[in-house]
Amino acid sequence: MENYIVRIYRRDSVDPNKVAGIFESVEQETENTFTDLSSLVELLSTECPDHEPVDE
Amino acid sequence: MGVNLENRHLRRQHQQQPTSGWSRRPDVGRLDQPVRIYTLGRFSIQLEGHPLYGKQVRQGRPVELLQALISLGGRDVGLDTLAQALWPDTDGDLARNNVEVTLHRLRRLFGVKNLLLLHDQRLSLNSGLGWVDAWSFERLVNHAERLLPLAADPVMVRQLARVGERLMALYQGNFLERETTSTWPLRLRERLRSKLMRHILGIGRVWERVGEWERAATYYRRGLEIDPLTEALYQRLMICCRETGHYGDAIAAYLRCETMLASHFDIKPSPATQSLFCALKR
Repeated sequence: MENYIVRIYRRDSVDPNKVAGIFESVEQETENTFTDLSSLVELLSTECPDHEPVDE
Repeated sequence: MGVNLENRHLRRQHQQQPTSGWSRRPDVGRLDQPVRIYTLGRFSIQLEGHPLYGKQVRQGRPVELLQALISLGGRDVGLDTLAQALWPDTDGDLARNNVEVTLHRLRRLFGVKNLLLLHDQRLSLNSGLGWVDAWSFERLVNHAERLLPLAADPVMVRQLARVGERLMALYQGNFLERETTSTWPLRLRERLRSKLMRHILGIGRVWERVGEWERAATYYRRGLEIDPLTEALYQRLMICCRETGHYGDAIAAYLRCETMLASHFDIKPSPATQSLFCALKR
C-alpha cells in the first residue's frame, strides 16, 4: 500500500483543472507541489514504484 | 524531578477502583488523572506530575503500542489492528503474540492498575486514569465549533476566548510528528491540524467582528506559523493590520504571501488578495 497526503491550497472556480497544492509521499518523506490536476496525476505516476512482474 | 523507570518504588500500583464508565469530557476541569500523555509537538508522559524518562519511553515498543493505541482512537481498538499497525510484515499469530507481550510490558511501565483495559480482544486507554492532550484538544475544538455560531452573545465570546487560549496552549505542534514515520498517526494528525486551521479562521473572524483586531491578528499569525501557504490567513492578517493602522505590517504580510505562493506554486496571490493590497497602497 502507498500513502500520500494531498493538500489543496487553491481551486479555480472557472477551470476545475487548475488546482494548486502539495503532494507528500508518506513513506519516502518527499514533498512536491502541483498546479493542476495533470501534474498531480504525473506526481502520482512518478511516485508509484515499479511492481514486480507476476509469474504466470 | 523526573521519574526514572528504573526506580521500582515509583512504579507502585494505584489502588483506584476501575471507573464505571467513560467520562464524556474527562479533560475539562479535571487534573486528577495520574497519567498525562503529551503528543502534540512532542511526546512525553507524566505520572502523577513527574515526567517519565528512560530508554523505554524514548524508543521502546511499549511506547509505540501506546502511541498506536492513541492514534487509532484509544478505545476498543482490536489487538489485530494494533498488530497490523506495529508489525505489518509479521505473520498474524506472531504479530498478535507480540502485541500481547508488549501490552504486558506497557502495563508494567506505568504500573497503574486499570489504565489499559482489555475486553474481548479490544484494548482501551482508560480516560478516567489517563489524559491525552490530543483528545483534550479535539474535544475542545469541537466545543469551540459549536460556540462559533453563537458568538453574537458577549457571554459566548468570553467563553470562546478561554477555549481559544486553551486550544493554542494545547497545540504545541503536529500530532506525533517527530516520533514515527509510520502511517498510523496520519489520520489523527491531519484531522487535528485541519480542525485547528478552521478554528483559527473562525475565531479570528469573531475577534474582527467585535473590533479586537490585534487579538485576531495574533491568531492569524499563529496559523501562518503552522501553515504558511494558507492564503486566507494572509488576507485576514492584512485586514487586521489595516484596521489598526499598521500599514507596513499589512504590506509585509502581502509580500510574504506573494513570495510563498511564487516559490511553492509559481502563482500570484488571488485577485482578492491583490485587491486588498491595491487598496492599502491607495
